[in-house]
Amino acid sequence: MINDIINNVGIIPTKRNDCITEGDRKGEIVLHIAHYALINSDSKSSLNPPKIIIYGLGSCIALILYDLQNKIFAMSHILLPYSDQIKIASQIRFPHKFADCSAKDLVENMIIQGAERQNIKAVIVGGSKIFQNQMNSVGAENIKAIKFELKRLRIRILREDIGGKRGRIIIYDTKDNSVYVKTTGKEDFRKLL
Amino acid sequence: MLGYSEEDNFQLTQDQIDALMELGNIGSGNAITALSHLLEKRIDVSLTSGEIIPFWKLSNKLGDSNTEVFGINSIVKGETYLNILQIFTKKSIFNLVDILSEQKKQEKVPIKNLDDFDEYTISLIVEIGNILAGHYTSALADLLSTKYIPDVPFLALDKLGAIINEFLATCSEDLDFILMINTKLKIEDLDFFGILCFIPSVETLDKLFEKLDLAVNLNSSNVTKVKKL
Repeated sequence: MINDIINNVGIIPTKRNDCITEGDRKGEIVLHIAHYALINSDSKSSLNPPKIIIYGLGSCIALILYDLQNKIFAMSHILLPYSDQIKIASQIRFPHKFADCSAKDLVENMIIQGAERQNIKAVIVGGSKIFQNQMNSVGAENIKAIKFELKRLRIRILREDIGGKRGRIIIYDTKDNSVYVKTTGKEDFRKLL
Repeated sequence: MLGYSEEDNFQLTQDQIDALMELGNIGSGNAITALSHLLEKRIDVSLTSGEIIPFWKLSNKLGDSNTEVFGINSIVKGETYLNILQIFTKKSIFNLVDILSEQKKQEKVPIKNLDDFDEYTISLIVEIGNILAGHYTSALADLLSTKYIPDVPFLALDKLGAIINEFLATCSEDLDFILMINTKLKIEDLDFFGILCFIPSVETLDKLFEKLDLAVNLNSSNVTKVKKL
């Protein structure tokens, strides 16, 4: 089903397979690694604003950017900190795999949809370290990279829920712009935004 | 084009797929025999299956992202490196620990976190993972007359999605597709269920095919876009 959604992207000028703009029948988007969701609540296609969900966020980062004035909401699921390993930019087929490309690409896509740069605010969630005896933590690297990139783009981080040892489930409801996070092992969701 | 499309998928010949399945069978057979000796139980094994999938589909392939499981990741080093990922349901590890440590402590304290285990139990679980990965890779190494040494495995208890996230972050730096060879194992009377995944790097694949005389030009300097065969 997700594949169908991905293939039916209409609004974005260039066709992209890693973008999701509409929810499924239940009004949900399950966001996979290296994909992003972009909801433009002013356009006709989004009469029913979906919930964007990631089940199991480990060392990955969920980056939420939104512009409340223009009602544009976006979220990406980032896997790795830096895209340096791949030297030629054209070889990056999943920009949202990397923290540095993702923030930039998300902002650009939001602006195409009509967002204004100075209105964009950010929420970041994730970056935990769940394999306990592992030495280096990709999560910590991810947090560092995304914070640096957002600072460079001059986007304020409004809320954050980062680090720790446990995975998370995140639900971003674009209807009322609220974020709910549940840490593995806990019973309840708590409201982050 | 950005994102995933079927055309960019790298393909293997039927011979190569058969060879990989057979390697998976040999490796997992060896590993499971070891576990069977350790537990003195009969273990049911599924046929090995192998697939090339885009990295973001991995957690969907292995089960429901939202279930809590144990994940054990061994990085195996030799001439090249490969990963052995083991996924076990929560209950299977609890039962396994009960049998091996000959006591029932899980019923007293509800385990929600790895910190709820004592050090002894943690090292017991890691050791089971180590035995399985070690036997898996030693069979491969024997067959290919090379050396593979698994590192101390990493252990996690979390949602499947989160474990796969972190696993991918350690192994798929510059790869858009992953070749996964997995075997399911089951012990009826223990309520034990697990998956053994053998995930070779592209360099390892090159090496394997070279040794097995099935070499083709998987261009390893250009891993992001492996040539179509």
